Amino acid sequence: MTSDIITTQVKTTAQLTTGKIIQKRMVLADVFKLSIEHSRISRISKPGQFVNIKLSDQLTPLLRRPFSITAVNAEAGWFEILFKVIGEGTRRLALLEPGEMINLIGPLGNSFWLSSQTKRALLVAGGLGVAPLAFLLQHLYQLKIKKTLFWGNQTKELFLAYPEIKHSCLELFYTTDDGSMGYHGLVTDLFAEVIPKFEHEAVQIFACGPNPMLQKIQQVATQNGIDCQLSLETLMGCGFGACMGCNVQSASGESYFYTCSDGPVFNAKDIKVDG
Amino acid sequence: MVDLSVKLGNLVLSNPILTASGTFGSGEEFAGFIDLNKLGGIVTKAVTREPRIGNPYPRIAETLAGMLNSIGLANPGVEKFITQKLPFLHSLKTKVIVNVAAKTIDDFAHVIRRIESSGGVDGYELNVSCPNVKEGGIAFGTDPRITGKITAAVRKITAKCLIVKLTPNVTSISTIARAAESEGADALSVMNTLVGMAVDIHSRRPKLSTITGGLSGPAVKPVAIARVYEVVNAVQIPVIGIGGIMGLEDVLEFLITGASAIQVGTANFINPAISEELAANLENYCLSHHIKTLQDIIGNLQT
Repeated sequence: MTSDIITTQVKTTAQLTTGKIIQKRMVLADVFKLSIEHSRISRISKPGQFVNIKLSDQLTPLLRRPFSITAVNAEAGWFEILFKVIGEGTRRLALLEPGEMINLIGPLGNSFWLSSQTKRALLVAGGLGVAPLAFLLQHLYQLKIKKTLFWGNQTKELFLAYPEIKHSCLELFYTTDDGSMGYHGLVTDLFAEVIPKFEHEAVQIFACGPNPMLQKIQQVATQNGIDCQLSLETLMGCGFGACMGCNVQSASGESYFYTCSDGPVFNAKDIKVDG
Repeated sequence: MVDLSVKLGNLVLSNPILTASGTFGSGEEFAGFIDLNKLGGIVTKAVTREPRIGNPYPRIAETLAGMLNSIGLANPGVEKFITQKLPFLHSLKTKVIVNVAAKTIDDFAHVIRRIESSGGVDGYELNVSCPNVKEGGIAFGTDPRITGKITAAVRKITAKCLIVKLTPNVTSISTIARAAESEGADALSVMNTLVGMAVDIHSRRPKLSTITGGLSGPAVKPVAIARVYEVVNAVQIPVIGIGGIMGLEDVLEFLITGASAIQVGTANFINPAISEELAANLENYCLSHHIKTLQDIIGNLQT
């Protein structure tokens, strides 16, 4: 595990490369975690960054698919991605087995950054939006700051199947849409309820999840005057700044940022999140 | 030794592999992946007179063996292009062709004059074929008279290689091609994207914010080959083949059909090293097939 503290936003040089799948874990019937051997990516990647994976040698799916890095082990030389099978691309990725090679570009994008004043990190995850936040937690565990994770899912299944997120240093709030575990309701509702409790602490918010969730987190952060970073997911054609397909509106609405090259981590006050 | 060089007007390319506008940024985005100087040349993202922010999200959608895009010519405008992008392009040994888009003939002339007075580049590709903007673009390129007028106006201000990029979304591409040729174009790029559309069946919304966009990728290659065939039989000037090139066989197919050079587009997104690989693969192909010059391939279609 890398031990440096991320106090500035990091960008690294991406490589077109290949990595060997060394482990595959079926977390749920449609959620998988792959461990991919790659010493450079495991060594230099920072929380928030992603890899863009070519899923087929055939012409369909044609474009790469981006995946957040969810963990690294620099000593052992591997990193992990966590994903849900949604379409043809992720279906193919889930069919790969240990020993197979994958073609990837990475690490891409910028990273979360931590203010030196921060005494507590508030992380808010919606579903698989937990992926980059888990990597951020991996870094934060080495710091003497408090960590609170709000993690919302539709049902309890993912919580039960993903115990690796639990850590003695982590205050953890679960929410479920169906009330099967933790708070019954949206993670954003619980977050808005709990946030006053931290008003005397120097906190920073880090969030990743569906856009409606990010919009709400952005509002709560603004109302409470809290520094907030959002990790966005958009369609992407290339992942490295060439296609201009991953545009995100600036806060003023007068220009665009690009998720792959200006993000995926944005300061919440800089952008307008699409509903 | 194989001679891979080709001529477009007075511009000599060391090999026929170019990058298609809008898929290669200003080259800098690819500098970490390949040696840009191994390419025949770079065609930049379109440059306009004023900055353009481009179209709303979503701007891209993947389709079967292809993609739709509706970027909307997002670019920082010619002044920022000159200060932010041109110094890097000037540092390259490879040939640099700037794609220029505009709403008026005056704006085409203005952009090219500004670049010419800032050290210039090796050539210009006139974008009269973008399907994703309300003014200019395809509205110019579907009219042979306007295409001719723009070509003539720009021809007066530069002696550099002047390429006109044609749209396939017309009844007769050869009519437009001849109009550009007769007003002084040195070469023609065939083709820009095909107008296309895709619908999300769950939300019942178009997959692009602009409803329609431009289709590119391997799905369009047979259309592009047919357009190149039509244009090479209609004009005397060189034709640059564009459309769905993913590998060496695609390059050869365009050259045999009569294209003097090719542009790699969508493939750059998937494999950012593809253009350099194609240049190397073409050389190896010629060596192993005892082909001394590309003139033995170009237009050698047996019909």
